[in-house]
Formats: sequence, C-alpha cells, structure tokens
Amino acid sequence: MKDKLEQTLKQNAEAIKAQAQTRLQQTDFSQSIEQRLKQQTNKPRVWWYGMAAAVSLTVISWLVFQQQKQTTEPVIPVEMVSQPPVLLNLQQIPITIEHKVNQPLIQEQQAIFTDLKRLKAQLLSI
Amino acid sequence: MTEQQLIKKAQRGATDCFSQLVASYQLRLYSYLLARCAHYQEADDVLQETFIKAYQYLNSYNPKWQFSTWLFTIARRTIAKYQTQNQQHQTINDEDWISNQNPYEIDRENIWQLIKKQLKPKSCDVLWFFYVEQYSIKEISQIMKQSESWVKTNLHRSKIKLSNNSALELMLEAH
Repeated sequence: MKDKLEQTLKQNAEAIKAQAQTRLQQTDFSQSIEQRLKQQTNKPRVWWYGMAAAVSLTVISWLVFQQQKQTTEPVIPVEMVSQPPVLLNLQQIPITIEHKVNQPLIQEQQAIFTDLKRLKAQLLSI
Repeated sequence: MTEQQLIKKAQRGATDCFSQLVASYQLRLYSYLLARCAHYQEADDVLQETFIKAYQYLNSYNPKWQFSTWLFTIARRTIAKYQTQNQQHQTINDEDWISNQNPYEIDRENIWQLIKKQLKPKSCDVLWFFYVEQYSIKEISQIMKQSESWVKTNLHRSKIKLSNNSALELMLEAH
C-alpha cells in the first residue's frame, strides 16, 4: 500500500509538472518578472530618502539653535550702567541665574549638534 | 556561468542573471504551486511574487544552503500570506470571487487534489518536498523551519492518514 502510495504520488506529480510546463509555455512569466524587477531597480533607494531627511533635520536644528543662542545670551541692558551698583547687582541676579541654568543646557545642545554634524559627515562619506 | 556566479551577479543588481535563475527554477516552483493552490490565478500570482521577493532579499541568501530550498521557503510563506488575504476577501463576496477565477484544470482524480483536501498545508508541503523534490529530512526541516524529528513525525502521520482514507484507497486501486 505504501509503495503504491509513493508511486502514485510521484506519477501524479509528473502529471502536474506536465501541466505546469504547458502553462509556462503559454504564459511568459520570466518576462513580466524581469520587467517588474527593472521597475524596482529604477526606483530611488529608500536609504536616500533617509539620508536626505537626516541632513535636512540637521540643518533645521542648527538654524533653530542659532536663533535660540541669540535670544538666550545674557545681555546687560545699557540703562543699567547709569544705575547705582547695588540696584544693578539686584537687577542682574535673575539674569545671572538664568545664565547659570541655561549654560549647561546650551553646552549640552552644542555637544548634540557637534555629534549630529559628525554623523552627517560620516553619512556623506559612505 | 555557475549558479553561484549567477547569484553573486544578481546580488549586485544584474537582473538578466536573475532571469536566468528564474528560468531554471520556475518549472519546479510552478508545479509545487499548482499542487498547492486552488486556482491558476493564485499560482501565477504567487510564482511572480516569490521571485520578486527572492530578488529583494537576495543579499540575505546563505550559499551554505541550496538555492532551491531558499526559494521554496519563500514560496511557502507567500502562499500562506496570499491565501490568508484571499480568505478574508472570499468571505466578503464568496460567489463573485470564485466565478472570477480561472477554472482549475488539474485532473480531479489527481492524488494531490485529494491530499490538499485531506491534509493540512504543512503536511502537503512535507509530502511534496519528500516524494517529488526528493529533499532530505534535513533540507525539508530547513524549508519548513521545523526540527528534523517534526518532519519525520509529520511524514509518518500523513502516510498513516492517507492509508486509512477510503477515497484514496479507491484511487490507488484505480491506478
């Protein structure tokens, strides 16, 4: 029984193969596959989009950082110079505190941007 | 040019080399798909999709294994995906879907038609790979992503199940 089963499995598979052969002769799949492959290879690779996005993100971040740097830098107003030294010191306290709080953040931000620039340079060199 | 050379060139983007690989393997793959699929349309779509996927993931092919086993692995997954998608579609409009398909012309008395109805898809695959493709247990286990003992057990159980099937018995007697 098992031998007969094996034999029938093989014989019937041959019938399927013959049918597949006929069908392949009628329909040229290899041509349509090649056409689809060529279409795919002509498409720009996804990683190009990724790299372009990374570069533009870096540029935008750098511009935002430059703007922020200009606004966060502590500047002593000119009119303070004419005021008495004690008053001047008192008025300077919030500016100094803000400066002390912001400075580490700015430094951290600068470090991030340096890293980003380095990464961008590495990406472009690939 | 050897198969490995063709693969290497295709990995570098030579579509003509990949077409040569398609030409060498399409009959084996298409026969397997005809035995597994319900309609010509399904077999045609899965065949094309299998080769497209193979090209896309060609760089992940490990030359340690036969190229054909790698292709069959992709084909198996593609069938499963295709059939799941179409089952969902079929439940929406069953009659329309069937009437739009090309009628399947494989002899209704072909044993593989019966096997398809009697056994699970995985068991059909194991039988096909063992008896038709004549792969070793190790190779089948690689295609099926299962252990070798799983393949042996599955093969044994399928044979028992088929031996106890009365419809098959009649079919074997007719042969």
